Amino acid sequence: MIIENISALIGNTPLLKIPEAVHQIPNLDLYCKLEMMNAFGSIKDRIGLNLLNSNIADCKKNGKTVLEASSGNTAKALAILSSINGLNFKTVSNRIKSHEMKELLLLLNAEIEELPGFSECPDPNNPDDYMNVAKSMSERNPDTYFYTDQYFNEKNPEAHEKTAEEIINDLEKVDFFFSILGTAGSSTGTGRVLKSKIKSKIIGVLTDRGSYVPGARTLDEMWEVGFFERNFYDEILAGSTNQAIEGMLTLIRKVGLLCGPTSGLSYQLLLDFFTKNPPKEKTTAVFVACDRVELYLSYIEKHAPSLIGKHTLGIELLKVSNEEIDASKEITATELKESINDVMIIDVRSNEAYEMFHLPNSINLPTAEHEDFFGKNIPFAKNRKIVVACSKGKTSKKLTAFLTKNGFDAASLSGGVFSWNKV
Amino acid sequence: MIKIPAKKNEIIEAAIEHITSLEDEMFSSGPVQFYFPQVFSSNAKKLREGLEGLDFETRIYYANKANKSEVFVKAAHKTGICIDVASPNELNNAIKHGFDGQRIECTGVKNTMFIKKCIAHNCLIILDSLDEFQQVKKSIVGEQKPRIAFRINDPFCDEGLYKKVSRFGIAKKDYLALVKYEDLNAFCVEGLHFHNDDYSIENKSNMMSEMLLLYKPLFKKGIFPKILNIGGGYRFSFVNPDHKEALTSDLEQIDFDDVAYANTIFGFSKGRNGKINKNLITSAFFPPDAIAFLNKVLGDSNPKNNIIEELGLAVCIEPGNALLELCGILAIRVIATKQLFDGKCGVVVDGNIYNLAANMKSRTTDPILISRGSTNSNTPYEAYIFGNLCREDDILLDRKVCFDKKPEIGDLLVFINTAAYAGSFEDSNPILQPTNKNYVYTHINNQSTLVTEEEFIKTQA
Repeated sequence: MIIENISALIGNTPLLKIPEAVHQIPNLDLYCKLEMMNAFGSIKDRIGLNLLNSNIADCKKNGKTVLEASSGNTAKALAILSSINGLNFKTVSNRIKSHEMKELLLLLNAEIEELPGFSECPDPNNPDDYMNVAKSMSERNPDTYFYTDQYFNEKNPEAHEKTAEEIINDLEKVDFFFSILGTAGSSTGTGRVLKSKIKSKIIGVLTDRGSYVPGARTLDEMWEVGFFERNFYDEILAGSTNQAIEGMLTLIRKVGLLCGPTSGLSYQLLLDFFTKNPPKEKTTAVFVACDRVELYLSYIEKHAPSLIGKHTLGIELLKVSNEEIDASKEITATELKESINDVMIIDVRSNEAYEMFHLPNSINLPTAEHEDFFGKNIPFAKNRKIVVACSKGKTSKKLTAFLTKNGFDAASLSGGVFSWNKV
Repeated sequence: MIKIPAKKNEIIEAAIEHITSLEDEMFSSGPVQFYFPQVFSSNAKKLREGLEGLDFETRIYYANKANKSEVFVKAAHKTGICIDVASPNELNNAIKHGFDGQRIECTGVKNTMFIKKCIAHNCLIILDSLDEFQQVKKSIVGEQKPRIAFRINDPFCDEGLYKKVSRFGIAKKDYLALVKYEDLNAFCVEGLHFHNDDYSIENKSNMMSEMLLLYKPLFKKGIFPKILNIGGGYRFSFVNPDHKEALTSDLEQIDFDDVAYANTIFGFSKGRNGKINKNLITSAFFPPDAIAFLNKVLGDSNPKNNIIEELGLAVCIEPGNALLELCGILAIRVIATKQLFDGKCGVVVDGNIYNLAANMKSRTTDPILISRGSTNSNTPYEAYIFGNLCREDDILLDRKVCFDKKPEIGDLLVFINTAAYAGSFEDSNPILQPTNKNYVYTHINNQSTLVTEEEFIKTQA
């Protein structure tokens, strides 16, 4: 088979039948749409191509940089497509959690603007949010950037309509289509064709609160952006990090499908769904293998380290004694106000709490992320005073003690962030 | 035959013993309710201590509407918890018994007079509607700055997974518009409130998480809320825990036609197979108690709960039932027994569904028979319990109860756990049947005292 352009390998992905011996649900014909077999290894290759294709000539002519707000597969697809078309690509995102992905993007010559937030989910109401930063960047510099806007560009779901056509061509009927909800572009595009043409039921797959599966959102996050409309889905399922890994492992080890955790989550929740609702007659269901596992080895290392022969992350660095915590310095809100321009403020509360209220000029470094963040080094300048803040001034003392122990001039904000408003 | 023996405590045992020695005369004017304020205080203390391990402050508001007796208002004040009032008279009682406005929240339907009084006493007003918000605004006099919280009635309806219809509260979209467009500087906005009678731990946790998202516009507006009120609706088991296995087994094998007066009992309908669902039995008769439930809902298992502490919020709860567990019993005189056309039997008592509250039927345990007659029969007697109203629906217990002997005229039936929404909750005198006095029973260091409710209040003043 000879092809002229790598883009020709985007789309027309095969369906893999999952043996009943593996899924063990009687009366279920289960197929996996192998979107991981797209040219660059993910379902997002389709939208990358659709978002960019008709604008390549304009970008080339006017020397525009392709711009997107993404820390994952969309950025990867756009980076490659930009590169092979002689265009520059820039992505704006919160901290990229997968170092494999970050390194790959750098390898692809992408320019990365990483903001201090941790959430993968954009917040349209927050002007400092990565999506809004990207959007305003493109609006302020319309001659410099072409913003592909995966969260609101109709070309995103449109790209997946073809996915549905492919499925319909391969299968006579699809009773259930299970789709991960991220931007909701793929479920919307594929789902609306499947619904209208062969009356498939569309099941959305989310992560439950407190879990993290790259590319999938929680229900809370779904309201904020994208193409999500609750009523479009016949049912919404939510699952955990562990379920994602368990499903992924089954697919890898029993089916030979080298897919990532979102695919695993879809598969595992699909099994739960049919275990609770056993098909009484022959039923056909399709789920999607969105991407490949190789990009998630650090994710696996974090959440199931024993699977890859690793043990718990090195947190020795963060160990401080109670005496060191008690001895750590404190600063009052009044004192902080006077020196606000001379210090770096680290807010250790969760991303959600930080987004609701934070001190001016503070950065968010949630406690849960400290292991990762400080795993190798402390990337702060030693000549700048650091103030650590939490809600009440207790949790912040631990990081303060750790930083002090490592030679930084650090203090904990006594009374916490809300003391700021009392002075 | 189904037996549902009541859960009891030492005070109830002592009170029943005490009742056996009381004169017949005391019960001749209708059912007598006995209250145990010392149990209330103990419940409040246990609940407060049971929530101490949480990462954030919790505040307990006694939902006064569950029982109209001032006895418990006084007890609530003494234990240091807060109070949730839902009428002007409840507010008057709370103030009369020593609560200051900081410890009072006003919920439910409010007329202008109620609102003005709430503002004047600096109580927290849980706003039920946009109209009420405007009414509160209009009622401000001078420098008054009303303390308000928004009751949200559909954080889970519009878009969420959890649907619940309620006539109370403000639609989420209206709340968001109000916060966006209204000048809230005239108010002290303390936070948000929701209530939902969903007894699933998971659902309640998820509702809380959804509620937390609604704080964002407040913070954006520079308002620093202090509370998240998650309402009431905390349950407990009415049944003697030792009887759990036997009851579960009996209910699984129940012969409805033999046991039920009509087609439905215990709040459950007969299934096609003539049985009722085992899960329903467990959840209805043996729910997790308030402390266990709240610790699961508010504890570490829901990672979103960290945000409560991180936002500096206190969680408020409004238990009525849970604080009134084992705080009351109701004694009713037997006035007749009778056999029905189909051979089934009934015990007729000198009280009615309004004395026991019709909505309590589904959780009424077997009454205890205090025999005052002279017959020494030991033949078990199975019967329904009928009330004294000349109405078909006046049936206090629509499942057969098995008595060790046939009740006689003048005997007493004692119903347990009648303090919350039950005994005297709906008291009235339909068809001019009389109502009786309520009594307060205390039992401390083996010393029993029994006084009328009014006398007790006077001594506590």
